[in-house]
Amino acid sequence: MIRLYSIIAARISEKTNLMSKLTKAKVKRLAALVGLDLDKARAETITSRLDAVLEELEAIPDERLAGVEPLPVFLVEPPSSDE
Amino acid sequence: MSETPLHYRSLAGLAALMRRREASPVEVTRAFLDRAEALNERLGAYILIDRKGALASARRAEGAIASGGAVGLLAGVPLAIKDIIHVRGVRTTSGSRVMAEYVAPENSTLVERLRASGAVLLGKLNLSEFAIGGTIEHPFGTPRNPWDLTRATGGSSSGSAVAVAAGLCAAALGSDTGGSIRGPASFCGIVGIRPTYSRVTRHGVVPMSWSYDTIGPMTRTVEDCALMLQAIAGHDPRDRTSSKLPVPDYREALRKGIRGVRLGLPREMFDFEGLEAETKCAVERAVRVLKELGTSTRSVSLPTSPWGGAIFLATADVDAAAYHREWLTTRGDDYDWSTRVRLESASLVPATAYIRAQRARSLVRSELLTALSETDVLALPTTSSPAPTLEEGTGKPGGYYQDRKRDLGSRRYMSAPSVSGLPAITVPCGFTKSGLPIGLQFIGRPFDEATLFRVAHAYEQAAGLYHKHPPL
Repeated sequence: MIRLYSIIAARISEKTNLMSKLTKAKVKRLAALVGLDLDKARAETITSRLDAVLEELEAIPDERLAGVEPLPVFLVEPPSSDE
Repeated sequence: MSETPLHYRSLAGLAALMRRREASPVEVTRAFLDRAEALNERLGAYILIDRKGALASARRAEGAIASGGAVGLLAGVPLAIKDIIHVRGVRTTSGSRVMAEYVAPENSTLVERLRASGAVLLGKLNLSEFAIGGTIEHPFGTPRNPWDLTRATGGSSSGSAVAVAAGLCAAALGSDTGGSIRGPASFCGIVGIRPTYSRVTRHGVVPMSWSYDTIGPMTRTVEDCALMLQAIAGHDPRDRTSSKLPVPDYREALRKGIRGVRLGLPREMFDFEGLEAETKCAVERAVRVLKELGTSTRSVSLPTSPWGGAIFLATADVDAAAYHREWLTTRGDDYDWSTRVRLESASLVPATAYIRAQRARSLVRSELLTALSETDVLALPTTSSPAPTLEEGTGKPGGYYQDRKRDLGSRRYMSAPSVSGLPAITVPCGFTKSGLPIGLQFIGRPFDEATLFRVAHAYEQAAGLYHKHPPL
């Protein structure tokens, strides 16, 4: 079952990257949507920075993430033995 | 009495001297204030030195000790706090022009607990803007590494590390989101602990990331670190995330020795190509010392940890971007260029990437817990290299933080416990040929700070590096 999930996840991932190839123009448009007006230097740096982070995240093997759910906030008590 | 100057005495030693009435809290406080005022322009450690308030607290401590009654754990000890921690009626600048005039309406729980334990607060310490790291222009002075004034201190608890290393306070509080205690502590040759997430209250502290932030002590010895954590740890009804688990006696743990303790050595942390040779060598030498003290070692794997940097930036920074959203659009020019770019980048992280990073975060935690089920603590370098130059250590284009491979790769050392909410401590383990400190890091199980203190203390006592101080 997990293997099947991994194959499906890997195929989905091939088709839909976290973000299509970033360009400075796209970053400026996206920034405008959230109320940020970027000058040339910031747009360049943000494009390169964001590109690097997204590329790294995409490099995490999908197989490894199969079946793993996000855990945005950790429990405040010690983990149970089956964690 | 040893010949160690007063300003380099340990917190524990100073507290004992004052309890025995062999030193006066007022005189000790005055000595630290004089030294801080004399060196602060060179070192950029303090944003605010509160001479009047500190001396008033010292007089109260002196009175309490003289009365012969019970006094707190830190009675009369001069401490300082990172300037994201609120003190009622005092400015909390967060190291930023954005909050330069903000006056805190109430005390943080941390300040209340330090005062309840009898500590004397000398002032508020410099930091990277909003505890984010990479600041290019510090509005309240540039923190400089006391071991080499041309070197960076690391961020974000830069002033805390400088003040402790240079003897401008007996110990300090810092905050650690992605390494902001451990990095500066390592670069400046002191001890610093990131406690388990939720072990220490965050009430009255300006946040960077709600699901990552921890507050912890930065000290010259491991025992001091244990004492200070003892004073601040424990449930706080004003912080809903704070744990209700009882706080153990950390100092007691120091007496147990480490024979039979199992150390895990993560392969991904020792085999990283960006790990500098002198750092690797010092950490491997430290591991040999630990073996001689009776520990066993085994290799463990944390396969997702190399992505720790990207996971951190795609989650913690997004929290920060959410917190700063309004100011970014209305007061963008008041931010340091590097902070602004980092927050604006995080504002544009796609939701799918954020969730992918949160899933990977679960995975890193799971891998760490698996490794810690076969071992008691993990030992690894704190950073991949010693302190960079002041120029390299900023977010300037072309600087250390802009070098994608170096930055993301080297973040793995401190990101792994951060993304996992686990405790980690750094202790000095050597110096480079040019005299820069190198840090050894231990990662522990959730809420097992006691074992971290135990192992770090045993190593520290064997290595004896706590006797070395910067050439100021």
